[in-house]
Amino acid sequence: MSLFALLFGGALVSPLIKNMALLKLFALLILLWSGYALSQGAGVGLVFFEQSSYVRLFEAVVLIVSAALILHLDKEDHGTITQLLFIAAASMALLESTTLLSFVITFEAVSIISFVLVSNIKDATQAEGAIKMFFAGALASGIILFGLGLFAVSGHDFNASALSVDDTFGMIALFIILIGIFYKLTIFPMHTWAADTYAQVSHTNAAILSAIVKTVVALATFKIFMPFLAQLGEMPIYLLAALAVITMTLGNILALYQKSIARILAYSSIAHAGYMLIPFAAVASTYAPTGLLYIAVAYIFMQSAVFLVLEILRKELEIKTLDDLKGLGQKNPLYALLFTVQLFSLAGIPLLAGFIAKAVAFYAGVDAGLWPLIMIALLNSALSVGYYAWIVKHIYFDEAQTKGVITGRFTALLGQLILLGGTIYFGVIAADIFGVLS
Amino acid sequence: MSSVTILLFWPFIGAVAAFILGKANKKMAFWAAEIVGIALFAASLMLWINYTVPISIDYTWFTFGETALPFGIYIDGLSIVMLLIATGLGLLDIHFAHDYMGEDNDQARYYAKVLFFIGGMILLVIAKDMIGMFVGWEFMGLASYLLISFWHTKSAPANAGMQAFLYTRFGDVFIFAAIGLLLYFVGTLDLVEINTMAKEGSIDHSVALVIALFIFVGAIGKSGQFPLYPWLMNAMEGPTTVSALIHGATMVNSGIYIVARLFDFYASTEALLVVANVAALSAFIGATSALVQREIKKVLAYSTMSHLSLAFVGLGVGSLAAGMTHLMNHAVFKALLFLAAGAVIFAAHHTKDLWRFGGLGKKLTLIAAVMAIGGLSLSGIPPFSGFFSKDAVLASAMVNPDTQGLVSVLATIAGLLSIAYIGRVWLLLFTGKPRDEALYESVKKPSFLWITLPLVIMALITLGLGLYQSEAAEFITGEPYVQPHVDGLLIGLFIGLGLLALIVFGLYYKGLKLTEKISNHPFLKIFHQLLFNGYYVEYMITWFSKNIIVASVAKAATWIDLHIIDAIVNGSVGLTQALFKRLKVTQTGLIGDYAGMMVAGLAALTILMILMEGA
Repeated sequence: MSLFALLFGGALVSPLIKNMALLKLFALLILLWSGYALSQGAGVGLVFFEQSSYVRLFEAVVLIVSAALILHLDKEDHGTITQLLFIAAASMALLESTTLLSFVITFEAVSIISFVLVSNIKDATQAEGAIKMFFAGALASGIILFGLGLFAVSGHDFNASALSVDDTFGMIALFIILIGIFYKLTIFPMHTWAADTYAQVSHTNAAILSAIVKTVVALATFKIFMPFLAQLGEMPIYLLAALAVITMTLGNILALYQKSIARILAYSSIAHAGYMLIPFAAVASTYAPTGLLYIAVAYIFMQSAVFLVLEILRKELEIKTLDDLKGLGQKNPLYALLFTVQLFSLAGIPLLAGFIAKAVAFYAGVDAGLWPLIMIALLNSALSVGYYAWIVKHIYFDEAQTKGVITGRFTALLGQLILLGGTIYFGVIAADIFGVLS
Repeated sequence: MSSVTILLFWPFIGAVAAFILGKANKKMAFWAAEIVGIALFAASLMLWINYTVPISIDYTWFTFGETALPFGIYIDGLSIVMLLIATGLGLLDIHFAHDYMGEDNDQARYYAKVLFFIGGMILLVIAKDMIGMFVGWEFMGLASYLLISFWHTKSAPANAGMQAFLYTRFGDVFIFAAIGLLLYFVGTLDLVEINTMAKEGSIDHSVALVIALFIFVGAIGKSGQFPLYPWLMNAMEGPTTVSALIHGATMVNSGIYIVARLFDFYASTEALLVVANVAALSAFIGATSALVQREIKKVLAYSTMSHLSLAFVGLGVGSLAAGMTHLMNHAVFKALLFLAAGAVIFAAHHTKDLWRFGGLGKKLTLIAAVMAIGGLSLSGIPPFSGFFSKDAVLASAMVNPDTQGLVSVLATIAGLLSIAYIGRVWLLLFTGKPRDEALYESVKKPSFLWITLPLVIMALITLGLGLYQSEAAEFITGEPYVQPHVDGLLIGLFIGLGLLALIVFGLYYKGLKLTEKISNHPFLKIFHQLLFNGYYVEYMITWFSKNIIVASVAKAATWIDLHIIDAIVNGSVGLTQALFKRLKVTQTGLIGDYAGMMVAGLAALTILMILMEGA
């Protein structure tokens, strides 16, 4: 059975189920079935789509994280399950796309479902976030289509299996498409919407957008554009490296003095986009694909986990700013610990996935000879500990405000434990990912 | 589930379970620990029964480029004996703690830490390479620190924990360095392979010597040898169950274990002689200092140091069998002595001062009996297990031409003195008149099931082990065992032991008044103070670190830290704040601005790209 058909069909059927518990069960079964199909070697199974062990590993991770997200969801998020299944289906297709055409189409599919996802608006702030994303997204789609047009005009084939161009026109066209895609990856100069949207839409949606969609797009883009990136001369590579530096520095510095936790996490997400761009610039190194895969795997677990914990904290204890967090460790040790571990992973503390991810990606940069880039990335990493540790300081070392205890649903906790498991597993056992390419 | 899986993972799973269950219900922590303890012991027994050839499982933690970090499992006779010691005594210790720690409010934490410790010990003895071994080594170091300072709200245990951590850490740094040297110069971390290479002579001699000595420094720290032993004495501030398990029977063995594991490697260098000399000196210091301690547990701690040194001497003089059988015997009878002392301490409401006891033999007869068995074994009286291995260690030392002199003499003195200090403890505890009537009256007989039963089991093992010494030696070394023999040694030892026993009996049974007079004599008091304070090594180390390291090196480092490092970090606050203010301007929150930025950015980047491509 085709993986895509399974998830797509599940998404189509899901609105018919009105009972939330049943719907969750149904969605989990669909994901479980997809996982089984995946383990049996099933892929999208259409022309222009192809699976490799590299992609398969990440598809499995996406399914696991989707399951954790579904476990987390609440009665009010009825529509989100359907959209999540759609996103999962589109993600599989995006990851497996082999030509520019299938890539752009599935990319737009993911974009459109993301718009539907954020349009589940409950208040003015969420509306603002959704509108900003929509505008930016529309503009980005325009840019991508502009690039595609240029690509066609210069006489290239959309369906060529490897993106290789030898003329300036085609080069510029692909570069413009890449910049359009940077909108989803929140890379300078296409990042401005992200800080607002991630912080303003519901935290669950922010988790889906900043964790699942971002990593899937990053991996798929790298896969499609790798031959193109490898063709780039020295100067364009430096340009990419410069974009990476600007993105991570900007994200980290803007995160440093924020008061709202969601905004810190939003900017940290932009900073991580900068780290993700390192393997793009370091494409000459054989470690680049491994580096990106590791960052994607680590990031999808830790980023979705922090936003989901934040959602629980907001819903039950009205926690929004750093001051609200004070003394969380005393009253709610379990959630405080879950939050802290994932934050440490984001900061890159050893024995957590975030550490090896950064280590490998940075190593790829060194391997490709991009020393200055990696030096700046390391400094950025150190800088980022400033705000992650600042959050932890508020959780554990400040006097408790009078606050309640999180009752928390069991399924949400289970979802968190799955994400925690991922963060720890990939922080200790590196062989799975290192082995994928060899 | 295979025995290896149980041994590797259950302790850690059990630690988490004991902690969570214990938070819900105090008693549950104990039961979780007891069940895991039984499972671990059963798994070790299964390994022992089914043992034919060494189990070797290769696993690579990860390969990255050219570097591969191994994480293999290797279980041979040596590992199995260590496993049986760790899990068997661990189980009895957990069982004993049911009553001993029964009044404590924080049992969840206690049992979680103990299981975590056992997990570390298991990892150490079944690891195939230095990585797994070092992880286990450090796990135990952490567990030891956590358990010594278990009663962390009191200052003495908290300080003792910190001291243990720092002293052992000093040694650990050298092991870490040794791992680096091995990886760089020898190219493998595989313990079995290192031995094979050393045998073939394919390791550079001077490199091997440095590595062996570095590892031995780590072993000195962990096994309480000269000069890094003072932490072991202060570690007695922890619960007695912890002293018995960690600082008597298991963790302190790990230094000896690692030398034994790398025995062929050590034998290929002169490092063995260093081991023998340092150990003989430690044995002497430990045995003499044990003679004058006031606290029961301190006597046992110095005696532990002394006996571990004897095991080291066994290895150092070239007899793996003698060293390891002594280690094995010592683990059992020392756990027995510690727990018996714990039973007395428990019955006497946590009194540890020897001079407040007396005459307890009438009330605690069974405990007095098992403690006598432990004491006789420790002293080296046949047919108890300690006799055979101690005799073998001394005979091996005398046979080896390199160690016939000083090493043999010091080791023999240490071996003989053991009857003096343990006899003194026993006489002061169980005979004579009660010196503190109120305390004597309040002593109650402890529960048989929870306190005395584990002691009886250990006493039986001590007795039984005496019968299987050569089998045990053959099992550990995998070679036929020849008992070393020196003419007249046995007779000499017996005469010496007999004389010492008489003197101790006279001093502490017949003539307590005379003893008091002797110890108050101003000239003899100097010796008493010297021994009581463990030859002032702790003061010397403290003086050295305070006046040399803290006052000069640390001061300089602090200056650099304050004026250079901190200045940079503090300066970065102003810089990042300024940058933050300027960058914040770009986040206007207006979608029109954002769209404008995106388009302008696209235009600028495209132009740049065209320029680059055109050029």
